[in-house]
Amino acid sequence: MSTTAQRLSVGWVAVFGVLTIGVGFTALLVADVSELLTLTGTFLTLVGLFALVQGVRYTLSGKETDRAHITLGDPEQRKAAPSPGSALTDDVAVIVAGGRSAANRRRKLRTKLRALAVQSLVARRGLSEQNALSKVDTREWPTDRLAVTFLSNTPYPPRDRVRAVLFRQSLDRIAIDRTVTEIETLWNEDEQQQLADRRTK
Amino acid sequence: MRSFATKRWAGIEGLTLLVVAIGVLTTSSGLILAGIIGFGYAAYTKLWDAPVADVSIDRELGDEAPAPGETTGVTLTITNTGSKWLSDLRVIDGVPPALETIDGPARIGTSLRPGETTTCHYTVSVVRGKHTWDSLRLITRNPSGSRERETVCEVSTTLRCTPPLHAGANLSLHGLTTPYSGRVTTDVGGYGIEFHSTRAYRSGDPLNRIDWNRRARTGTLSTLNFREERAATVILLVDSRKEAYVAAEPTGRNAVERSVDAVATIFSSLISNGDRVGIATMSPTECWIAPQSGKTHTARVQEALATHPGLAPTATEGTLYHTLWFNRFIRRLPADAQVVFCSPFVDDRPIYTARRLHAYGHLVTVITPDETTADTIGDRIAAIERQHRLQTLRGNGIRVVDWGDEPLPTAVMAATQRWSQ
Repeated sequence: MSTTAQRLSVGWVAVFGVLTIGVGFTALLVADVSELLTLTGTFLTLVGLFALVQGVRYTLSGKETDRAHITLGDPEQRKAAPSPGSALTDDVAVIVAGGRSAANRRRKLRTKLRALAVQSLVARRGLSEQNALSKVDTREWPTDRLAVTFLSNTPYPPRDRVRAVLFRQSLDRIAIDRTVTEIETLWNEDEQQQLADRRTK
Repeated sequence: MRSFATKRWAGIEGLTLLVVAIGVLTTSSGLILAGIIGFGYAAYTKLWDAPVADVSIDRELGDEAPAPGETTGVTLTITNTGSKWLSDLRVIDGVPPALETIDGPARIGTSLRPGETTTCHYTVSVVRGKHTWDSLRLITRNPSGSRERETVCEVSTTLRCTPPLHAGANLSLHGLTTPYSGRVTTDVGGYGIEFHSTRAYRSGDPLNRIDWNRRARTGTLSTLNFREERAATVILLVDSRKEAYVAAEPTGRNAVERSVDAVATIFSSLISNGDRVGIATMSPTECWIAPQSGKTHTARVQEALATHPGLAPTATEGTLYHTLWFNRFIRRLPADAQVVFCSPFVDDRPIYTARRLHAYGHLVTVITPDETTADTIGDRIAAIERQHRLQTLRGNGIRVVDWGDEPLPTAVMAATQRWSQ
């Protein structure tokens, strides 16, 4: 039985007890009342009250009971394969939601994105690993304010915090998104350059 | 399985008691009589248990060996062989995970008297592989639905879908060859088509290889050498670990399916050119077919591509102990074999494999189906990581065919043009 139902039943019993004692005393003091309390009437009233209490108890417990059934599944659908970044997408969702493991996942994702940024700078800009690391550490790269803040693990600027609160956005989500965009730009620089060259020709 | 209470009638006793209680307290006989109806319902829910589904089921396929992309009908015939009336029977068929139902649900809800029969028909879209139906689930309820029981019924059915082998992509191989004649142009002078060099005439050289122009100019005899064309030994290696079963669309074709398609196309292309070709998988369920040539070998490979569990269209359970696998693989690999490695490169393990094979002197060509998207932040990160891996491979001198949505021959042709620049 649930706590609410238990409290209610105890309350009913208490009320019933108080009423019974009250009626008993009244019958002792007032003769007209004692004439009204016949054996049959009293018995029926007691049965009715008892049934009422039990009825309320059963109804309340029934209302709170979880219905059970067998899950049928969906055999008609082909078994779904995850997308290559599904685990990372889940991590971002946890970070944005701010659950218990959010801080841990945020730290891991930041480490991953930092490593990816350094690797991308080495691969696309031809920097040495030391130089690439230095560019990230000294905030020379990336240029986006929030991406820099995310990669360097420093508190977000107050104006961005205010804006995020006003627009009900997650600053972590925006910062991660912008960091990824900055790394993507490194990989798309050649294509963008080629497009620009074609336009000038 | 034992039946269990669904509790869908929970609270009916309480309501009945409430009505009766109010009837007693107000001395209303009508309400007390109305309560009796409630008691009737309460008793009705307790009267019967969910019956055991004593049925016989027959599953019939329209075509047991259709071609990939075709559809086939499935008919279930269910007969109540027991003595009890199954007032509420639900039958859910165990459609193989790689198949998709495209017409009609693979389930039926019905009521069957003893001896009565009913049928259920649905159509599935077929993909490559050996597909075995799972157990059918039978769910019965008592008439009031207050109790439920699940029974499992085994009906063995297997559908085999063998992909046709047709050459489509002419993959340019590295120069690592066997002594047998084939189509890979070498730097060795001898018989062939493309001019290689001239050398001093030796007694016995064939007349059609004597450089008669030079003889006319200088009076000396010399012999023409052509680039010899030899056969290659190739292993087509498929990454079919659990990690490789990724897809851009959740129910679309995954990377392993595309890799197997690529292997089928390249195998027939190479084998028709006289190369010796074998198949291997990097997966918990290992597949190894040593490189050979000939019709029997082709038939064996075609069968493996269709039915081998290591190349199944959906991920299989099991753990791959990579170091053990690699050591075994490298021991089996012929010394003159080159490797065509098909993998989506969604993690670092395939990089390690390709680089080690390359370091052991086996020339590696990578064919990588691109399953990355830009739908979510995670997908975008995965796409960048993959780009970086491919760049690392190229930096190590490994040829890479990055295969997007285009047909494989188009991707191979584009890559070949890059390699020849």
